[in-house]
Amino acid sequence: MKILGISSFYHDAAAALLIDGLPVAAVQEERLSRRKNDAGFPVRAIEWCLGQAALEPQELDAVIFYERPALKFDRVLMTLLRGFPHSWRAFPKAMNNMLGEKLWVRGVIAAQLAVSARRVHFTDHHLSHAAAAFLTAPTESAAILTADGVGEWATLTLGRGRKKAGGATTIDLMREVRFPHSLGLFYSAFTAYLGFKVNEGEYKVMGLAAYGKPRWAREMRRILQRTDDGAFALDLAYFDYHRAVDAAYSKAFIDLFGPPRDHFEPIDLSTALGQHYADIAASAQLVLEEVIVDIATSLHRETGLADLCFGGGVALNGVANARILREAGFDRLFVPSAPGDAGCALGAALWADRILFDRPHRDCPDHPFWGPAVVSDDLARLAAEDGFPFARLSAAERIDQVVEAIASGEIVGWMEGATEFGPRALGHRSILADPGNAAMRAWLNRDIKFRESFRPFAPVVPADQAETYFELPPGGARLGRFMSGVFPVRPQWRGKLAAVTHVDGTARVQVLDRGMAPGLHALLIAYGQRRGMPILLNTSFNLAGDPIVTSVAEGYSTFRRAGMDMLVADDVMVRRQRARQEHVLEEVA
Amino acid sequence: MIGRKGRLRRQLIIVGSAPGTIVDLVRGMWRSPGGRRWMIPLVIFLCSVGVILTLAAGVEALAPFIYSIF
Repeated sequence: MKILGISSFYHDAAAALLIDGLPVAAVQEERLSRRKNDAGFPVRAIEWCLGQAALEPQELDAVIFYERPALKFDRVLMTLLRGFPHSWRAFPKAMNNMLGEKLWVRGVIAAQLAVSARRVHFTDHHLSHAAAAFLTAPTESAAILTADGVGEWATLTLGRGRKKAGGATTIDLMREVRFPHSLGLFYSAFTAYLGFKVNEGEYKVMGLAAYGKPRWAREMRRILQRTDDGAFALDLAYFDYHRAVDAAYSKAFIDLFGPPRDHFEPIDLSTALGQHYADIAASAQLVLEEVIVDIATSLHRETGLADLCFGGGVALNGVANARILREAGFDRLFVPSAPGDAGCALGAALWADRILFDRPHRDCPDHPFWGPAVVSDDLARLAAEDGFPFARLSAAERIDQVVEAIASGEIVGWMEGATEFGPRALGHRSILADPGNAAMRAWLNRDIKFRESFRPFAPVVPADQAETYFELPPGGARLGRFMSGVFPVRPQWRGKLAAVTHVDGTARVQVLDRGMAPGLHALLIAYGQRRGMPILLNTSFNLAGDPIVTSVAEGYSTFRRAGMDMLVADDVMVRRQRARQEHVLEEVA
Repeated sequence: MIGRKGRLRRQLIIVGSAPGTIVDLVRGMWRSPGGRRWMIPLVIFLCSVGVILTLAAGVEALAPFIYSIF
């Protein structure tokens, strides 16, 4: 059975193709359109997925959309009517937004793909998140927690799932918290207040939080209150997202926390104002953690299950994830590589296969590499056209040269195999550098990636040596598989891992299993033999504001623009010639 | 490869599938326990406007007449 899953129209559109119960391709639209968080109908992603299996759209047995547009429209309309007269300005914009395309998804899919509308199906937004988290995880029975901004009505769901290879699958979402009470929107309001882009800058808030003290925690707890039934409720007087299209927080919010940050002004942590914003971030982070840990603890108590599968945008919060693992009572915490809306494309397709069509479960391969693969010949061609020397190397030569380059302080663009599905670079589209050089972090932020100075970089370490360098709780290695947890660096190693140790002594470590990315694993081992620590700084291969590179041409362009020293695409390597470049610049001058 | 249909044909397919979506929406409201049946006429009106606007986007000759209504 061939099923295409689609997520689109809100943020981070994606497509995923399932054949006979197993994923064969999944990619975010942004990786192909080159527009960050592209939310448009993912025609390129669908075309690429179908091309991988040499399928025509008419050969699909089903197309499944990751949420129910009618229910979403119901929520938008109901919210606007409830908010009247405050919402009157938002009403025409919201209606124009919904009625233009978003409500007619069945027709849009049928028209774009030329498939019968009868083959187009829908599932619930949070069921897609739940399926993406549970059906891809190597567990037979688990509690399920999903939390994001908002789906149709639900913003957080609690449930349990059961599956067995060759057998039936059940996902039972038992309870939900409904809009406008939302952990995701609570965090997004602070993202907007701190001058970052909503649905994109939340991880900056998490990074900034480490610099602050939670001085505003009491006020935050007043805004995000716990309810007697174990859930939570927002004090809506402080928020505006439920009655305005383009505002997240209200005047009362500003009266309480002070004026919002001007996003053109950099955050200077040496000033009182910069520290105030860091304190706000720390307070929001702390209160979010308290609530989510408490909810997860109750879920553990209720289900008695050892495993938790966590999906939705809130599951991208690695600090909260690590606390859930440490404190909620679960032995293992599974967060998929794409817990956000993009992952819902895969989740919806898996849900359709296992539950809508009642087909037996098949274990999914436990890796995130479902996107377009590297074509190394393209790098050779591009380098030749530009007169850059390139070399074709054996695996051993490639590792030797990359180790040598990183050990001597160079920055390497690393492209290998298929691209990752999800927002993290997990070793196939990465920038690699020396994790021990404290200046490397500032250099990378300022000169290579052009991003804020406070943002940390992540390390990657082989799974069997992770505990030597990082304080992983039981189950921590699993959470680190897709870089989903933030853990303390052991104090004795912090000085030697200065470029990847955040200001609070933690790191969002990727714990690499050899089977998942053998090339990068071999590189880590070789680097460890050379430098004594098998750890590299691993950051996504992109510039600020760009999606992670997909093709070799994009990697090469980024390599040229960012001033990196070496680019490796499978077996082809290009090295920047500093002397030649300087000579050319002199001639131009 | 996904075969590209003309704009008009695509918009007509979308308009053709709209009644199904509206029926789903109305059915959901009719069954909703929150007593929201009073919203059904408003929903039908808004959806009809949406369908007309979708049609206007596809049939350029009709667009000026339709937009002038609003």
